[in-house]
Amino acid sequence: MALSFQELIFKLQTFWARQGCAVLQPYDLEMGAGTFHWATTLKALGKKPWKCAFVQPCRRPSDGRYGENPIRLQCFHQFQVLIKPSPVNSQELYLESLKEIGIDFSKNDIRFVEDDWESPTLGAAGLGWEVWCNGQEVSQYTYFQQMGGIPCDPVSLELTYGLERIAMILQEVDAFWELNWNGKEGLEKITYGDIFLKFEKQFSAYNFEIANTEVLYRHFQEAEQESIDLLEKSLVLPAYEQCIKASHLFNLLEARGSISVAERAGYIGRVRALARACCEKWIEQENNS
Amino acid sequence: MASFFFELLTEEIPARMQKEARENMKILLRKEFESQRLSFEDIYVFSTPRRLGAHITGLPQEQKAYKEEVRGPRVGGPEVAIVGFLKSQKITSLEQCFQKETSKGNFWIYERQEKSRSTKEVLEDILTHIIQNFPWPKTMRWGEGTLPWIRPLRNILAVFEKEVVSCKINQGAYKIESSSTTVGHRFLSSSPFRVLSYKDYTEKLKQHYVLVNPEERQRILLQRAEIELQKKALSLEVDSDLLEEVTSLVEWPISYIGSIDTKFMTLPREVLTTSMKVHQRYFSLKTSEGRMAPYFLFIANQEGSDQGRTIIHGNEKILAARLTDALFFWEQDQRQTLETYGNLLRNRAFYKGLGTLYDKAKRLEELCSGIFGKAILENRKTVNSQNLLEKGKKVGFLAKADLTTQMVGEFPELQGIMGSYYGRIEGHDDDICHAIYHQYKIDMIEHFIEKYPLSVIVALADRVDTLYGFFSLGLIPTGSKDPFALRRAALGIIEVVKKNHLSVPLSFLFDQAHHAFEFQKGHSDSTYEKSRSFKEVWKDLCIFFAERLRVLLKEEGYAYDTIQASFKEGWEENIPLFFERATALDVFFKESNSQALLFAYRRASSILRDVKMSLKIDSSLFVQQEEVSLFKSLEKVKGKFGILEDKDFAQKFLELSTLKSPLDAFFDHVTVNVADKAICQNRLALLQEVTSLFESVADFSKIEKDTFNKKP
Repeated sequence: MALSFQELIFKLQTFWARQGCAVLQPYDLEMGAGTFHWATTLKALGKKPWKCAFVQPCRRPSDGRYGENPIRLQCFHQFQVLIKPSPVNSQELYLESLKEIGIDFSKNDIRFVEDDWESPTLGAAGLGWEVWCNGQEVSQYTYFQQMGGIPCDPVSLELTYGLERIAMILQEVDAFWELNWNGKEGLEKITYGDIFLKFEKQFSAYNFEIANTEVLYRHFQEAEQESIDLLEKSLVLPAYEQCIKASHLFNLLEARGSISVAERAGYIGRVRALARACCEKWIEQENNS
Repeated sequence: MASFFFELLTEEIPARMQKEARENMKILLRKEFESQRLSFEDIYVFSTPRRLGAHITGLPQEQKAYKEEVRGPRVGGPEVAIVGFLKSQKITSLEQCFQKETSKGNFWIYERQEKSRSTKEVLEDILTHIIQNFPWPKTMRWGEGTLPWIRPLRNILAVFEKEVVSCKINQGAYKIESSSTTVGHRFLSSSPFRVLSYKDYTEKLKQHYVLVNPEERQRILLQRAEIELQKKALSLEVDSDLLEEVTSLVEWPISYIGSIDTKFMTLPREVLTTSMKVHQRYFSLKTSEGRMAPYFLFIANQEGSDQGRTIIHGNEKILAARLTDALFFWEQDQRQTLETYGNLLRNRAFYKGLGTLYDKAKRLEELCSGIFGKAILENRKTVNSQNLLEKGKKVGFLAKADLTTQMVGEFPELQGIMGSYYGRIEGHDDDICHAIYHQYKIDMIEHFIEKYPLSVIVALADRVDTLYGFFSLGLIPTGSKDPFALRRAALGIIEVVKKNHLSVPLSFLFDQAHHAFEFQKGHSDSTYEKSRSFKEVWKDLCIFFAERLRVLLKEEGYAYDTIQASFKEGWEENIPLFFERATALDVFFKESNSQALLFAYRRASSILRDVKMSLKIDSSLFVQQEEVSLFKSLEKVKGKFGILEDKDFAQKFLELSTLKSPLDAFFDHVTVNVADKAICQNRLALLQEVTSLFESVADFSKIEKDTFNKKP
């Protein structure tokens, strides 16, 4: 029987725990990708080795479809892994993890298709691939080359699994709301839709129609200023948190249609400046410690 | 004769880089072998997504011996020279040298030799050097290593005559060391094995499900595809780019055919093919009647053990998901008119200082219906133009409207195409829809001026507007930086004008664009800002276009001189004529007697070098017969030129060639710089007439001196 959504998470956590990763909890803050978690962005910088794995719910306001599109969500789950330095047998480990969650290599066509990942907001860049399973992207696989504009030395391996996508393939369902979350059947079964359909509907309405743009913009400016102030006081992690808040606020403003194409670059630049400053301060502290 | 082969096992190399990597590897190997004095018979380079390697045959067992005679100072020469020579050759005494008698005297000679190293030893250096200096377009590091490579390098297989060629790459915590082992297909047969010859290597790899030779892999891919196609009576239109890409995405190509739900077949062809090709790397298929089939062909890297059912089903699902979105957009987009979409362009910035895309659309409206459009239509043979200008207004505004549709939002490569589809559904005229479609398909706009004049006008208006806009802000492309694709825009203009034989001056077109921008400035909702004067902008545009034309002609194989001479003053007034001049010059310069004629021109031109004024001929001052003959010939040629048209280059060159004998006679018997000033001036005037006749055809003054040093 195919893994339930939660079993998928347990299996990945157990697998990576076996490899020596610290299995963390998600960052308790809205963010667009697991990469934004300080355990990825900041820990990728500096010489100290690091191994972590965690689930991260990701908020992408513009992707909301009111729970009506079978594959699009404004909040979805990534399973994130970061290992520094990248192991020699990185690819083999990744493939083993796929095997662990039930992907049969004799029946499926797994491919590493060129995709060099970049985040303008984080000033981050890496080389790697989209991993395809029968033509569908199931993971992003990246060797980080720079973060916040600073070269990564040593290089980290980042793996990002798209959990909904993988679960839908394993469970052979066509719509996210059909996914079996708790692995029970009949009356005891709790589906993804049972849990999140209301979220999708209400948040899509909020993101696209209702959110107060004046308030959002004010919060953006305040987060930006707070981040700058905190950095001056050398409180990198709280400063970084404000940067993440600003990034999410930007995503909300964009979903509301408040940001023109011309202004977009400006906003991204502001968040990037905050991220860079945090990374620089972090690395300064790492080098001094 | 010995052979050497190696394989660099790498984590998946991007498909689009493999071909160039093979070419670069071949060039590098050749360079290395030559500089290391290793002769060879053949270099064959191969690649798969995980391997880059080569097989070299006909190698010697050791380097070619190196001997060179270095000549030193004269025997009996100064001590200083001898000491210096010994030092430069790193030897200690003259006893290591010998004397040699040459026509210039007796010299000390040192015979420099280099020890021949064994090929195996040299290959070690070569391999290491290549790995450390390979020109990947992008590189990365991994783990704690410093070696830049396209993706992590995992294994080095290197064998020369059954022995491992040693090569070590430091990766911080570990080293990559060469060996005679490699691995097979990642999933089908991944355990390592040893090979000691290239034949062994290719055969064993095949057994382990890897086709290392790209040509063979492609052939087998197509063979296997053909088998699947025949089962369903379908055919494939081979897209060579896509084929190259998918061949480079697999080590063991297996063909599968998936089906497309018929509800998606109502989508425009381009939407289907773009989803399939661009996002998924699928091939679209045709039925036996030649129509688009509800099937697609794709290549997997292995056979699925359940007859590929899981693989096919997965691919069908993802395509269905993409097409579901496309169908949604297709239906949603049709709920609004193109005009509405056009108005939404108010929210799209074009560029800071140039306003929004709505502003651009309004300018295009003006250009297409105004003097700009009119001037282009004047090139037609058919007369009825009024109706066209009205339509021009509409199409100018609607040309960019589809940029705000959802479909183009998802598939930006479909801009123009979607506009034409939506326009057609809305009931817009055929030629309006064609013009929206054609604006991005320049290569199709040949001889369109009669049939689809609007397409010509829109394609030109858009590019002229864009170029003028950016140039007016001073954003001129440099070296490798051309972020707004202005070179492409200029080339587009040249192509459309040339292929439609439009004799509209470029300056005129850009002046209209300038007026369109100026006109908008006065409007309150325009976001266009002040910029440079037309004169300044036009100057830069002229230089820019001249560069593009130079490059175009060079690419077509025209000689440097021909290209230079084609830029006669006023070249930008008539682009088709410019090209005709280039062609005629090319033909002319290739004729053997043109050289003699050009020599004479050059002679006249150099005599006139210091003459600044324009001189008049006075036939009463002629003294010698040769002056009269030349004058008579000139008058004859001038007369003929008066009748001939600008484009009758061949005729004109023929006429100019009649000046050869009188000119030769003139130079042989007449002295120009005589004491009598009046006669001297008169003779200079004759020569001036000669050169100006030449220069009225092409800019012969730009011909390089060297062309003339070869005397007839």
